[in-house]
Amino acid sequence: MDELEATTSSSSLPQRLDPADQGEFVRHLTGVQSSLFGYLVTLLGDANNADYVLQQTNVVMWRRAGDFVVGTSFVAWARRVAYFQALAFLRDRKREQLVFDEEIVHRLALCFDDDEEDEDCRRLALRHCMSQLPERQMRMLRQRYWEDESIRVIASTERKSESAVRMALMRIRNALVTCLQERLGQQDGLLDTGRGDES
Amino acid sequence: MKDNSGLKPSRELMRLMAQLIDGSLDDAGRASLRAELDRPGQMEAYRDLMLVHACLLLDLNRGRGEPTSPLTGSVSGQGGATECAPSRSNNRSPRGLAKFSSWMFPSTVGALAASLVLGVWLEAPSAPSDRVARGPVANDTRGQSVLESRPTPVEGVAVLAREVDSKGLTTPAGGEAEVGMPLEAGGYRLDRGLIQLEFFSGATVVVEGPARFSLVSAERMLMELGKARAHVPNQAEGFTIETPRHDVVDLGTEFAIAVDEGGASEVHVLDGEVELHNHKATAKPLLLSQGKAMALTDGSPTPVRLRLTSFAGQRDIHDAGLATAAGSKSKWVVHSKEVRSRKETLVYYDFDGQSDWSRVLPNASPASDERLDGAVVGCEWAEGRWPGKRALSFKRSSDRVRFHVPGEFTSLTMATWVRIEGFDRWLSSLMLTDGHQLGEVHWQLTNEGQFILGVKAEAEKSHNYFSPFCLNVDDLGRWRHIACVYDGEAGAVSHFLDGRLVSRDLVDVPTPLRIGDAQLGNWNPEIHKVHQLRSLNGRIDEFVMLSKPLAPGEIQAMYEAGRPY
Repeated sequence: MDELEATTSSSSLPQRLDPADQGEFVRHLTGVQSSLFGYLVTLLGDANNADYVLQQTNVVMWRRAGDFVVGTSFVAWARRVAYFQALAFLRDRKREQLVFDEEIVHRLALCFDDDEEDEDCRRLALRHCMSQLPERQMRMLRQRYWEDESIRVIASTERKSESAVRMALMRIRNALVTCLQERLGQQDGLLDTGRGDES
Repeated sequence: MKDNSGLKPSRELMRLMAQLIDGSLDDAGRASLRAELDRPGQMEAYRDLMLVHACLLLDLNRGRGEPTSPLTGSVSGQGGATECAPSRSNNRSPRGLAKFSSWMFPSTVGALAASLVLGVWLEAPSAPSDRVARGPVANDTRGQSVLESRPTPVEGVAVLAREVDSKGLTTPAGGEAEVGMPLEAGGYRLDRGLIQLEFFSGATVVVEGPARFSLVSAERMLMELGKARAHVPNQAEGFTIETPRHDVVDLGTEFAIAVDEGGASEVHVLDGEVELHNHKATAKPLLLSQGKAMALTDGSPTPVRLRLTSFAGQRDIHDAGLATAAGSKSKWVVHSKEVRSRKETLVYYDFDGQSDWSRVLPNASPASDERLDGAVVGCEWAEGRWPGKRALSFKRSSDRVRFHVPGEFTSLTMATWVRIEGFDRWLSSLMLTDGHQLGEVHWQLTNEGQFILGVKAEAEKSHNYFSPFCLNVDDLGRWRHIACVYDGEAGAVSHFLDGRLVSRDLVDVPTPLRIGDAQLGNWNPEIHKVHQLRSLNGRIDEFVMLSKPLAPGEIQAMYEAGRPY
């Protein structure tokens, strides 16, 4: 938090967002929600905690709307706020069984430094990838995410052990990651965004 | 995501993440996961898998699919514009907004945004609004929000508490006052029937039409024509009714006045004492006690026989009210039976004839599917539109009625009688499907008095059709008929208030509609641990859902048959 305070409190920058243009800020804010959710799920390893920290992050972003410098990346600014909110969350919940400590969260956050992927593109690509899944796999995803069934229930309908269902779900996610990387790689080529694979 | 795409997650990472996401990771597991992330490429692999997990939650999970920003929405108020103030979204391109209508708008930000927007409005010059008369509004829409009209009641000196068999009370602005509304100072006309005025001083006056009178202040009124019977409690002692030639000042509890076209008046003291002040002030005030009656002409007051029964009082208006209510309820019953028996009626709840302990709302539509019965959760039974008619009261954040409607529909009509008792939050549920999957509809109110029909027509986008600002604080505690029609064939969404069309929008993206598991007065955001509360504060005493688009005339008929006032 200290670092953020330092960078934002001295914000007598000339190009701050015009307070009258709240509509623009709200659009930025809404546009970045899904991206921030993914970011926080990754940093915290837990969707419910991510939801909570996202709410806090939104409040802070709103209060500090004037600190955002027009022309810079809103996603990067938002992630920065979210990162410090995640650290604050870790400190507040020290006694709870959290997945990661500050050191890992810091390194995970670094993993996003070169990620400027348009979230809409990613989600669109994911839908395409889902449509290519075999029906049996799609059925499991639906049960898990859409019907919000417990692993135990899915295991009984699929006649598998619970750990087999968990692994099957991981394999489906991994197949989607592979598919996404292919599709987004293609799109980069097609759209000529100049951000081709480096590896 | 693509930068380290060559590196695959290790089997160990997969195993640990399976526990993390779909099970529970113990201390040893967490240590192993941290160690595994230290291996080359595994942190990126972890990130990619988590991002897919997050995307799946967003895309597939119910309850995460909705834009609910106060600043988003489709174009409203075109075509069927009426007395409601147009929505702000008028000024915006619906397409442009849709692009920014992302999947989630957390309530905290919604509230903050709303408060900021409010700040802007308060600075804007406000057009005077006549909410009582519901007259046409100015083109400048910014001053018409509910929030800004909150000071309105302060101008009132009395409230119209009851009316029986009246043709309506004409207000100073030329509109028609409705029961429950505050009345401002000025001249009023009542063509026939009885009304009960309750002055803010505490005095109660029953006026019988034809009558002309003026409200001067909370302590004073002027009768020009007609009969009035005043009941004045101690707190309001000194309450005065002025006649063309005298002031009648109440010192006790009850008196009556009659004024004819020529200005000749009579005063009858039913209880306590009154003082008569001649306007010419040539004589001393005359004290008149219980049982006395005087004719007030140009000369001195002359005694007349007391006529106790010729002035309708509170008891009479109450009894007459019950009789009228029975009449108006029976009109509704007949119409209601017609509506519920239509073959297109999917769900019909009349909220009537139920015991206090009853936890089931029987569906009265022709469909015989138990899932169409409403399961009452939490809500308490209360009085509906008429004495003896039942309603469910939605007060606590958990109160709701759950039901299930199977099938897909090209068109849908929903209509309900609702008594809103507070605009508690940005969104209040009328009828919401659990979560918000493709084709599902959310019908809700905003705290600014707009109606919204949200339709999830695309995987990542909900299309919201906003009405103009239709309700304000003066509507609190009053029964209102609200209806919404999604016409799939014509590609239009219409909102109705009290039988009148208030907005008609073109459908952005057509989709078959689905209801499935749904609730009245609340919603179930499914996985959300941090709930977005949308519980209704108010009562519902009728709800119908049909699989066809009702015509405006049919909605109007439904309102006319069911109106309690």
